[in-house]
Amino acid sequence: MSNEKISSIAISPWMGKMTLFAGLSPEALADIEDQVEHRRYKGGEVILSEGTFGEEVFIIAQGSVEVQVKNLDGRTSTLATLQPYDCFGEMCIIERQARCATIRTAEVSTIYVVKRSTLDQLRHTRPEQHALIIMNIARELAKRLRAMDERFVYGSVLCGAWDH
Amino acid sequence: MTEDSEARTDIATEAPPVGAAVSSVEPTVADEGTGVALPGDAAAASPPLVPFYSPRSAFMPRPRPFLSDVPLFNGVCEDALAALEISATEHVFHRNQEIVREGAFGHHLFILARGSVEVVKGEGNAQVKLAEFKRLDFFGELCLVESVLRTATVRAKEPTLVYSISSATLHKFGVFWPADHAIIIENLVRVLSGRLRRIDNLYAAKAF
Repeated sequence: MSNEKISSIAISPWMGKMTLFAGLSPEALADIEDQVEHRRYKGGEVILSEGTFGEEVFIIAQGSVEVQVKNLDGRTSTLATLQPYDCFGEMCIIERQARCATIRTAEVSTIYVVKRSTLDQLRHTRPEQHALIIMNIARELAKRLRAMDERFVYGSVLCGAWDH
Repeated sequence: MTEDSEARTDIATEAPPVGAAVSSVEPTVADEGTGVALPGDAAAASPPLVPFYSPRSAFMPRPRPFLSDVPLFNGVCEDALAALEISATEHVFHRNQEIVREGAFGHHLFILARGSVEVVKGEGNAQVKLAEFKRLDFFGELCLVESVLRTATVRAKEPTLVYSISSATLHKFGVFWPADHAIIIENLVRVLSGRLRRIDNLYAAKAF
């Protein structure tokens, strides 16, 4: 209990630490924080499932989650494990498409949910802060794309020649 | 780039004389107008003109309104685009020439105006093709967003014309046109997201 309390104090300006909201002004953070929803999940619970639609960004406050996709032969493979302060679901905010992976909690987790409408509102009230968020998303996506490229190449090399 | 803009102004200033030459052949048509020979009038009055090429464009015919066609710059205002186009540099690569090498330092975004390229990663036998890009696609954006070394090698598959914009240019652009810069970044994120989706699917399909 005391541990939780300490950690909650330690992360009290919590939004500023998230990669998604890095560099935002305190006012903008406060605006977002007002409209954030907190959710708690048990271990092994599905937060998002592949193919569904949704307009939210999720940020992990505590715990960790696994990103899984279904292979053609029906097995699932884990693409990544996300830690506190990581975000997911931001690709569907950018492109209005179905979720491309299933997110399952690995342990008991607390997740903050930011709705698309919150970000749209921010775009009107503080466009430069919204641009910062988009830039942060770009950085995050670039990082992931790099990591996936690497994994794809190593996977292909280990499995033999990749025929085009 | 100055050469290039000169070439364009040449076209702009020399186009009326071509029309004027036509109007001297058929004086009645040109005289009843405002005195300026419109291209439409000339076409109606005479058989189609031989299109005018500047000496430069004879060697490398260039798609004229280029950046406005690129999906990355959708929604950006014309003035801002003109500024970007002036600061873009053009490069020509021959077949199999490397445009970007994996592990090298670089901070340029490349936009394909002509030809096509392939993106490969790894070395020798372990080389894997990641993607292929064609006209109006862009690459090199990972080094623009984050400052990292080039993550893959990009090679021209045929004679290719690319335009490069450095990250510093884009940053400066953001100072003068913040709203347009935000639009570009948003477009960029959309494409990044699409590419991530694609590689995720490829990875899942291979089922490692």
